[in-house]
Amino acid sequence: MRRTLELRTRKLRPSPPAGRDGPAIEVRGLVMRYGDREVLHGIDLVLEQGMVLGFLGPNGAGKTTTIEILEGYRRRTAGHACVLGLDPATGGHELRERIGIVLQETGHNPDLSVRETLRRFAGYYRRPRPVDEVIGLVELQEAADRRVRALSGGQRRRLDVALALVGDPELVFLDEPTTGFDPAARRQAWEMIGGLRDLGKTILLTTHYMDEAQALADRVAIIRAGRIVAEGTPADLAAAQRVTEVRFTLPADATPSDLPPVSGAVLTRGRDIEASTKDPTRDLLALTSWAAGRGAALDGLTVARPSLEDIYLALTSDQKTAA
Amino acid sequence: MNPLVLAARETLNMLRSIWRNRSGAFFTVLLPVMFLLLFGAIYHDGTVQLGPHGPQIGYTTFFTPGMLGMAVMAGTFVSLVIGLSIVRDNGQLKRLRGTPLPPWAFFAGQVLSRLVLVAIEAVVVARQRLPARPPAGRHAAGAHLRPRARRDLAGSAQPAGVAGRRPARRAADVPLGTRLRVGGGDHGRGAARDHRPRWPGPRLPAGRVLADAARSGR
Repeated sequence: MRRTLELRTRKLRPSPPAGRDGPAIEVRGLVMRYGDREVLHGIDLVLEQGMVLGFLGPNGAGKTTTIEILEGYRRRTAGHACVLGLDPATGGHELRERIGIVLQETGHNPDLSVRETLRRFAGYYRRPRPVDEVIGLVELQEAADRRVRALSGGQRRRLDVALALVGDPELVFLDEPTTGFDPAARRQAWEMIGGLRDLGKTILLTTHYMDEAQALADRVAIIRAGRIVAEGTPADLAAAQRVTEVRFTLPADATPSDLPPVSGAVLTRGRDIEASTKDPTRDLLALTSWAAGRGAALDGLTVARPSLEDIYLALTSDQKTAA
Repeated sequence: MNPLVLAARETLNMLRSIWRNRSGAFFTVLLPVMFLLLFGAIYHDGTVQLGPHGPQIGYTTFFTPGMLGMAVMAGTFVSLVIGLSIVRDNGQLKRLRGTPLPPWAFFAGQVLSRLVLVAIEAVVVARQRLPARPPAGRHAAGAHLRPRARRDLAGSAQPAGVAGRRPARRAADVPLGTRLRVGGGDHGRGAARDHRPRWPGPRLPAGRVLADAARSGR
């Protein structure tokens, strides 16, 4: 019975879906309106296969709306969207066979065990991964026969990830997968997500933790108020800012007004000075020769590229005042 | 995967989780049975006159179909509605929507699991039914029970009492009028009452009052 059904299925879908070699996700001019309120004002996003994209943005910026459109939960108002060569609004069954979803807050049947839950979901897919293998992948071996009701928060989240993986998807959506984890559990989750990348999965990851995006993402897209405000590798974004942070403590006998002029903005917090400069070579020379001239030292002098968090805050807060 | 197999698996998973969920099992399966036992114990002497010229039947016999109806409705409509609200509210439906499971297979699982549950429950409730009341004269046919049902429903107390009085006869052969008639009634066979099987429950005046009311209303 099952075999004939599979044969029939194959006859209906003789060739693999088109676009298998193209990007996993391709979005152009995506617009979403809820009633009169437009929440996405034309988003462009491309995610190549095998890459991890960190999708960042403040609460309410449109992250979840975008993801839910790509997962097929919501229908876009306008624009082009293509997920694994399929239109997410009409991809239906075929699309769901090939994606795995970790939503933000979703319940489980509390009265089934971890293994029963996974077995149940594995039955939904044409080519599931072996249940025990998935349990091993998320390290739930010791909890495999426990009821979901008795799991800790971190274990439930790992079960979420396991359920997303049991269908052996090509593309995995992870919507804030480590929210609420303790630091050790987060590191474990990172290793797990790194493992997914090694399996060749394409991953779209949203997170509020910049270190998480920095550690996991090949590319980062930052969304604010329904628009993508930056997109690229974390290094690209830092370079695009063209700012270097210079920090030091003011010598005891000097006041901030004694400092030589530098090219960027200078921020004073008590005796701690933080200068954002676009020309670090020249400014550093000015500062160090000024200090040497006075016979003083610049205690705690550091020169650093801005972290992803700095970029993120700069991009999202600048835009806020501009808007 | 064959969608019919999926629906069957959903049914089994639902049954498993309903069974493991103690409060769910209590309200859908045990509560109607408990009501039946409780009211049966309180009103076990009562009889009900069906219509102005209809047969007189025991109150528990009268009561059982209603209890069964309640059990069926609690196990299907109520349990399905509450259950679906819960799985929708905590996001299980959304999660399932993100999988290739056809929605109808999920709902088939929900409905079929309740049907199985209710079928089991109907058997349990029917077997818990208490002995019928005395037949009202020529309407005795209305009070006849199948021997098997009588044996099951009357419980352990009944055969002991009857056997002590008429050892030669099987419990099932005892005429209902003799065995179950309410003592001191219009048949004038009050002496038989002391040997009558007692249902092991509290004998409350309410039952007598109801029985009297039923009889006087004849």
